[in-house]
Amino acid sequence: MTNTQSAYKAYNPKIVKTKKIAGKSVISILRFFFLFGISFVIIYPILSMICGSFMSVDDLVDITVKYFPKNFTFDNYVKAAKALNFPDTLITSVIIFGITSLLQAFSCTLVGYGLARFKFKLNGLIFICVIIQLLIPPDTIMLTRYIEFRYFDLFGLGNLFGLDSINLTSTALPLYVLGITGTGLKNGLFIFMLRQYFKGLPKSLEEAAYVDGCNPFRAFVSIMLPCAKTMMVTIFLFSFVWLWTDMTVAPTLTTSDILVNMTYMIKSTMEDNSGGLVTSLLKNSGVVLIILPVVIVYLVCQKAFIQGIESSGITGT
Amino acid sequence: MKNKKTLSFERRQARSGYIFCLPFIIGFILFVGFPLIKVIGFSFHNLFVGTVTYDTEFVGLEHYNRILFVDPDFRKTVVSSIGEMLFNVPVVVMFSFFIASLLNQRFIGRTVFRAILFLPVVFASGLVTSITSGDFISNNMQNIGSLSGESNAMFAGTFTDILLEMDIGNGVVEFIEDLVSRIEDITTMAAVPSVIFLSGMQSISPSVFEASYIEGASGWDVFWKITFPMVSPLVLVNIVYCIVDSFTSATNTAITSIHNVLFVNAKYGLGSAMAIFYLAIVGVFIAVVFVLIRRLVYYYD
Repeated sequence: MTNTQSAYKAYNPKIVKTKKIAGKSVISILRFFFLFGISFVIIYPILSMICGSFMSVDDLVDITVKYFPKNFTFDNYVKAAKALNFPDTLITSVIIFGITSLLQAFSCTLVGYGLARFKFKLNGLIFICVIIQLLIPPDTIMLTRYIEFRYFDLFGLGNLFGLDSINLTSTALPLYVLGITGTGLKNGLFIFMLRQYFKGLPKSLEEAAYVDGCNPFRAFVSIMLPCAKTMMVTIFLFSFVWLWTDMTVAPTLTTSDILVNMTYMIKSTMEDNSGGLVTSLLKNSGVVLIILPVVIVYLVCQKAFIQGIESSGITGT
Repeated sequence: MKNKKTLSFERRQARSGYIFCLPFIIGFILFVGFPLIKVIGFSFHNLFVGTVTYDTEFVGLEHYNRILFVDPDFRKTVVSSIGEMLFNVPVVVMFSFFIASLLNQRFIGRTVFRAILFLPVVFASGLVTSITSGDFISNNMQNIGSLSGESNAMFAGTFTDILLEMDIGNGVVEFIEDLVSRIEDITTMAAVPSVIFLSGMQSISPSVFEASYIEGASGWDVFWKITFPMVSPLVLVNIVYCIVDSFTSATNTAITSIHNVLFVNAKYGLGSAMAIFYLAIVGVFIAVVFVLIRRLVYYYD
């Protein structure tokens, strides 16, 4: 009797269904808590920075204030914006990094396409060079790059005619030169991603064009570029965002008024002028001012970032 | 006639290949290869930077001697950064696999979580940490937030006590504590690998799952017998990615110490020698990993 009852219970579709629903909701609650915790770990420093940037000095000393300031103030932002020379540096940074990212996206697409679609003797060697560039930490060759641009002298020609070397680091030219030659920040990764992406596209696309009498460049411009548009946008965004937050390449190679260089100003001059507490407040609001544009770009184009990694062949072959 | 024509087509293809790669060839020779050779040269010299030119003074192997036998810090830094990498890579790969399989399910707010988990990629270059390091507020705040802080010390203590009570061995408890205290680094490093895993999982055709569900497989079976084997080649991709990422990231301790010697202390010769030394070690390490992984890939076929 009891056996049949329990057997009936086990096979009662209603009970099985409620069990399933209960299990699912428990899993989804656990999943939510886990993901929420991890997200909190990621967002926490940013949140604490934002909270801190609105505090006044009194709040810092006050033990009862942890996150939300009692004396809410925009004063830090006004001061930090002044120290960063804000609207001007923001515009210069956007222009310089925008141009550099455009050049990088363009040159990396060219090279990636060349490596993916053409058979030639040095193809393998050039690809190895791309990988080498990917592996070299940028700091290793930063010094000689700096010296090359600081005492710029095209193949020693200037010296031959008795001219002094030119200091290119006072302009943004080094970044542009590195960008157009595909050797800038993380460009090895970009070339690799684009190569894999082009390898994944069907070959018949261009073959049709060749049969119709296109030359390779025409085929590239009118067939492959439209295909790679989304990928190029992703590369542009990645390189823009990484250049913006980069502390090695851009600040070393150019002394233009870009935001990153101004952060050194905050770091060095502010520490001398005022006490530690005021400085740290200013730093917080300064950092918020600097990363805010990047966060906005990321949030608006979030899909492009993630799809870029998905559609590049990194995940495939 | 026909033969000649195909040959010329191939030749033309090869030529246009060179033209497409030309910017990179020039760039690599001028801005990667040449600087690299120069750095090797500088590592045997002392460097004095002036306004118009710079002077060098040959010192031979002095810098290398200093790194290897005199300076006690740099060797330790390199060893510790390798050790950190060995600790991080397996943890990050497992963590990102876990995150990816969570995000692979359908639930409300999935895109929001995905966006947040990918956010560290944006700050990968360490701008935020380098500005705020040694900062009063952020230190204070981080103490409040982290488990090592005062207000949470009690919780951390009880947590450790519970683990110790469970009698699973001191080593394991220390390992878990280490993991908890590194959770920020781990989430940062896991951003790209988890997206790679996620897209790998989503590229499995749904008909495979359908068939196995019709045959009566449970979700558990499907996960271990279909999803996991299908994604396992990506484990290798992610291991390589993590190794390269942790060796070349701006927050790596060895990289930061090289950067400081080069650009803060302005000891160019010594810094170059350190950079070359580090590069050689990293190169050897990555070569070994590549060889091992090639074998594994062969084994997978």
